[in-house]
Amino acid sequence: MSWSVVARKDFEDAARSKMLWAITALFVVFTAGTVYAFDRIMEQTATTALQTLTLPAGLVIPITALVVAYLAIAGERETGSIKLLLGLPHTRRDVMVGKLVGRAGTVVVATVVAFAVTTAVLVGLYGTVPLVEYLLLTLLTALFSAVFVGIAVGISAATATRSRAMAAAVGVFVVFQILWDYVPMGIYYLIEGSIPTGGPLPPWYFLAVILNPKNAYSTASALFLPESLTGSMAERVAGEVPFYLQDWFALGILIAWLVVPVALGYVRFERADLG
Amino acid sequence: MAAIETRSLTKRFGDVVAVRDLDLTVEEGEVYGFLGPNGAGKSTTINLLLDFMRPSEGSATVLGHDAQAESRTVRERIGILPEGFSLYDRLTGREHLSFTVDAKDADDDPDALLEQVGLSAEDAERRVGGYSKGMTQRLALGCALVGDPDLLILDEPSSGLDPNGVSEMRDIIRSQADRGTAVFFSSHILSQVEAVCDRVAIMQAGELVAVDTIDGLRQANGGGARMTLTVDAVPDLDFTDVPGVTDATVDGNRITLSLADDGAKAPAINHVENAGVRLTDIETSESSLEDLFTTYTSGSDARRVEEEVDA
Repeated sequence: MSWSVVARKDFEDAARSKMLWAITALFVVFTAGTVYAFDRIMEQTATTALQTLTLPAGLVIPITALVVAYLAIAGERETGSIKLLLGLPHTRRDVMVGKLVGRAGTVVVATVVAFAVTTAVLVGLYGTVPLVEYLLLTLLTALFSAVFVGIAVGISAATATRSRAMAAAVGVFVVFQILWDYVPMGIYYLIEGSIPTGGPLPPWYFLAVILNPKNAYSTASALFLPESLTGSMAERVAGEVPFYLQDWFALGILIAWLVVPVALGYVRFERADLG
Repeated sequence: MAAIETRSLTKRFGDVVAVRDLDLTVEEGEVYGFLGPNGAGKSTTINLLLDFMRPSEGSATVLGHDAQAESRTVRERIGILPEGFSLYDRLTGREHLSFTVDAKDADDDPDALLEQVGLSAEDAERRVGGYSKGMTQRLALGCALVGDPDLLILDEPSSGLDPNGVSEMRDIIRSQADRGTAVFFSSHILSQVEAVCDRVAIMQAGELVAVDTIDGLRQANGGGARMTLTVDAVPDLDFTDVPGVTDATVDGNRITLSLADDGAKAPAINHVENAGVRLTDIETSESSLEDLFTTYTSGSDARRVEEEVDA
């Protein structure tokens, strides 16, 4: 398995460079800290506390994953180490898959460790943890981590230099974390000629919201957690709730975000001339 | 089956043709020098062979496998030293070798490889971020030797090496060739190619301008030997009747003769001595590859660069 040699080396690199430890510590602080902080400021149960975990995850995972993975391939192209790597019996697909698995492994391990530490905090505060929900949320969050690593690896595969990869990664961060909130509103303004108010909104408005992987993630968590964005969406949708606003569709959106950027990046990388 | 075979291989970058209609055959076990000035298209050709770049037209096979479609099979059986590569700064020399051994599914002993390329055990434990260019080059060559390849493709292998390193590089190429490994290497430093190659190809502006043995190239260019005789007094001599002497010039007390072949040396010396003058020195020189190279790549007359040989 040629890609696994690449993946292992990449993961070991992350461990060696202390990056793995740094992001694990960061995640622990954010997740355990959030659970603790929410407990201080409002009445919580173990389950509602679990729900609050999607907030720090949605905040800290995208930027970490982008930083961890945006140079995965572009960095090696710029320095020229890709020539030694591809001179070995690895195809470009092996390199792509290996990089994706190695870097996603790094972020996923940090996520899982952070969630495990958070369990201890939950048990300490509430004496119990809803185990099935907790494990499902961990899985979903691991998928969410992989999505942003995938986007970053896709960018990295499609760009030839560090600076371009960085520009694209920053662009992705700004679009998903900052600008996207204004996208549904902007479309609404273009169509309706006014700013959306508190009243019922057309279904596509909410589709535009959950097309952002961050929102797809928190929406999909409603598949096994009691309340989420979708809960409030259903009340605000004008008319019937269409299939694309069901919770499972958000999971589908998330999976599409994992597959499509990697595939597009691969197509460009596969055709590239590596000077 | 040829080690390397290209058919009408062409690579364009926009309007620029980097490699034009290249037909090249490197036989198994052959040491093949790939020569040309910078920018002639050597590295592009090698990048095409290694599937780092894709041809605009034509095709290439390496060890009988298509360079694009079967690139993985090709890489399992070749060792490469590409142009403009770099190592992983954070890994040690030894880690590079074991990573390569893993990737090639080989069972080489890293210590033996280190010794072969002249890196010490202490060097091997250091991170390569602190390596000199020469050490980097040695380690990369060590990696190329992993898995006992059938073909080595080396792009400017001696760049960054000191004269000692260059001669070690040459020894390694020779010993690999003795084991039946074909070696294809590019260079713009001619003496290196001359010393180890069975055949050379000369590339100029994306096109192949000559393929031959070194001797063949010399002969094709009328490039026999030259001989300079230093005498105590210059006699009035005519060399037109001496067989094999094609030209004679006198400069002070030195007579410089162009010879069609080595067999002309003795008659020429006799001819001078018969004139009653005393010879104080004899120097002979072969026309160097440098001359040939200049002939092919500049399109003008050969600029002769002397290589002194003991007479």
